[in-house]
Amino acid sequence: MESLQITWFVLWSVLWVVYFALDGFDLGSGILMNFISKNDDEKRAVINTVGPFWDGNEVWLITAGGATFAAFPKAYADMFSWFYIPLFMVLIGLILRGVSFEMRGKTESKKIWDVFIFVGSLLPVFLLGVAFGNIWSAVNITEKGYTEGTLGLLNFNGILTGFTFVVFVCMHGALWLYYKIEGEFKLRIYGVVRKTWYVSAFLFGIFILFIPHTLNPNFNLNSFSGYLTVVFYGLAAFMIILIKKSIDKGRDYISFLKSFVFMIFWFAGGFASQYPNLIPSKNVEFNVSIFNSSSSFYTLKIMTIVALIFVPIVVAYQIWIYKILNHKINPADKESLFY
Amino acid sequence: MDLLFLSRLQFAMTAAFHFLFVPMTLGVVVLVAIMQTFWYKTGEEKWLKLVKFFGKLFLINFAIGVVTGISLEFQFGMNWAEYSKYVGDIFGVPLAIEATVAFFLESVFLGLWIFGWNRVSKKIHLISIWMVALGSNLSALWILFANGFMQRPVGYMIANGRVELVNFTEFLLNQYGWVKFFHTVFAAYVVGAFFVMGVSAYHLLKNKESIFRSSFKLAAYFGALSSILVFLFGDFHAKDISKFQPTKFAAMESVWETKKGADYPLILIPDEKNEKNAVEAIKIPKFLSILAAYDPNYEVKGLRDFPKEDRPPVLITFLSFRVMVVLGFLFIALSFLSVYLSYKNKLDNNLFLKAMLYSIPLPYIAMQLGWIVAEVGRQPWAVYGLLRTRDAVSQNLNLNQVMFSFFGYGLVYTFLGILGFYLMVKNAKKSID
Repeated sequence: MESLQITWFVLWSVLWVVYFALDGFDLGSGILMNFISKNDDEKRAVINTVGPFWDGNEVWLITAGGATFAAFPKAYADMFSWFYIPLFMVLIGLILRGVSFEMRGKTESKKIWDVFIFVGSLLPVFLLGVAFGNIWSAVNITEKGYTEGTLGLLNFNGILTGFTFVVFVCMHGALWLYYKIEGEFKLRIYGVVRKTWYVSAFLFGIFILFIPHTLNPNFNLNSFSGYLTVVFYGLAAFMIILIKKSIDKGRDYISFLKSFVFMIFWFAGGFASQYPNLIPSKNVEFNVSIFNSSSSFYTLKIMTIVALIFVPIVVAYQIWIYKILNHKINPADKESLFY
Repeated sequence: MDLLFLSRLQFAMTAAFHFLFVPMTLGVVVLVAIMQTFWYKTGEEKWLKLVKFFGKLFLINFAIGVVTGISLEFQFGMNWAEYSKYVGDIFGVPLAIEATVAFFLESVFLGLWIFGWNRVSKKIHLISIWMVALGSNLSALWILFANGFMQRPVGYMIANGRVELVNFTEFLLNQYGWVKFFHTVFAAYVVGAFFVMGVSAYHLLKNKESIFRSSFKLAAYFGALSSILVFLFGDFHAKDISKFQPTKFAAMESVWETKKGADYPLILIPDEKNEKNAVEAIKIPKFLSILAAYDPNYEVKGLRDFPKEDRPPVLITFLSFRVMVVLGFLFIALSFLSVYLSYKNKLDNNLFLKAMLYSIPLPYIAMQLGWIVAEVGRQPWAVYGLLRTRDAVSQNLNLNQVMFSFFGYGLVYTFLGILGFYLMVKNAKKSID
């Protein structure tokens, strides 16, 4: 039983990590779009780089939600009802952003869609950051659950982590656009890439300085989860230096891939630190852990089989489609713009 | 206004709104895939034009359908935390599988389909639209397994203060879920068929020689076949309901007294207050028993046999069911007439074409009514016989939070509804001849 619960903690973390690493670049592109584009064609180019992929990326979030439901129903119920308003705002953001990609090209007025794409990208990233900042620094849970509402989440660690998410995602998005776009626009994006890298490196440092995990009473540096956290953060730090080297050499594809790996390491560090809790509590008595919130042995077994068969298939065809549609997009070439 | 009521209203609103877009996705994607197959086989230009035309309408619809689906999956945990804790061991499984098996297929291949024109071979491009069709239909299958469990729980036991899965095979073979799946999916095909016929009729009214003759004809055959299948599976479904959900069946037919060999009144007005029917006229002998179990002497349970707190609201369930059934017959009649007229090459009657154009909303209405029967008729239970709706709602929310999300969804969905309708009409009117 215990090994299945641990397996599902790992799978649960993997789903979230992959979600952030994948959707991260299209959310980042959405945040940056209005600020880096000089004209409508450039905005369209940005949307066309993420057009074929954003929906498939977002399904990782749905799957993470569904997997939480199936494997840890109590954690799913607690997490989603305790963080009700922020989660609602995340959903509204994603709803508005999703329709904007599709509708922008089909209506005369573009302004409203541009606003929705910005807000709908920024809000989910920031609020998920706030949520995980609180989780990583442990939540004030009492016998009545978490009762401090939305304002209770907007503490220093929540906001710091929220900003960190936003900044990392912007760098990730900038590198995606740098890789996918060609022509004069690419040269300007290069400047954005450099700026977002510096801000990211700076916030990475601040985050490590204030390291929220130390506020989690369950967190113990001298444990497997503690070691793993250090290793992942170490690798993330290493990756951020490697990204800079590739950026300096102007190697677009490699720097994006490195950014992808960076995102994976960084989020993995966060998830490793909270093991074995799904929602760590300041009062350790009320931890929502993989041991007190999981489904039955039988359900976990079935879900493991399903995941082992289907997740590799999904990964395979998703990679395949990224490869097929790996062409560059030039704002000057209107033929290549579908949206 | 209490928290339970508002949460129910919010779920009803978000689910009903989402389901305005789902059936068209399910139905039109199959028709577009068939059209694209014709183009692939024959190379005829008209099929390509039709694929692009209906593909565009499909995408507008899909965009709203997909984004409004996210909030449904999260709402179980947000507003129905007690439900999620109590049945999550089972209910979470089909939802997680739906995402893994169906949503990825649907959205990843749709990306390839939209952006793959001229980038992949015609064959891969054709396969990608069929993958989207497969993905969306698979997602219907898994979500209806989940709903099937709420209607007729199987393969479980009560342990550790919750419902736990003990037999996955039994869960997967839940006949209730399968029959409901076919009934729902074929109904969605009717929505798709009437949509394509209606839009084609609009263009045929302007130009009798338009290439929309071809799409009309295809949709007519598709609609005729589907409307018959909806009827058949609906009939099977009624047997399951009378067997496993006697209170729902009694409410659908407004039956108050238990009776063997029950008659079927064609005209009926329920009087819920006095637990009887105000009017019952033109009775078909023993027909209700036949509807309930193919057995003229079958004993149909009446609502008075059940405690008041176990009965669903009767009037709304009854009316929704009756109107749905009448519409179902109308769809059979209209689609067979359409098949006949297209077969005879007589698609030139303006009155008929106008009727088909204005019939577009009818299958949508029928599907919404069907879900009202399914969900209102299941009350007061969230999971039939196991968990009451009032015990399923989240305990730690306050009214202001739900008020905020309710009006938030209301606002955003109103905007999406108006937008979707406007864009759909605008693009449906564009000529492609």
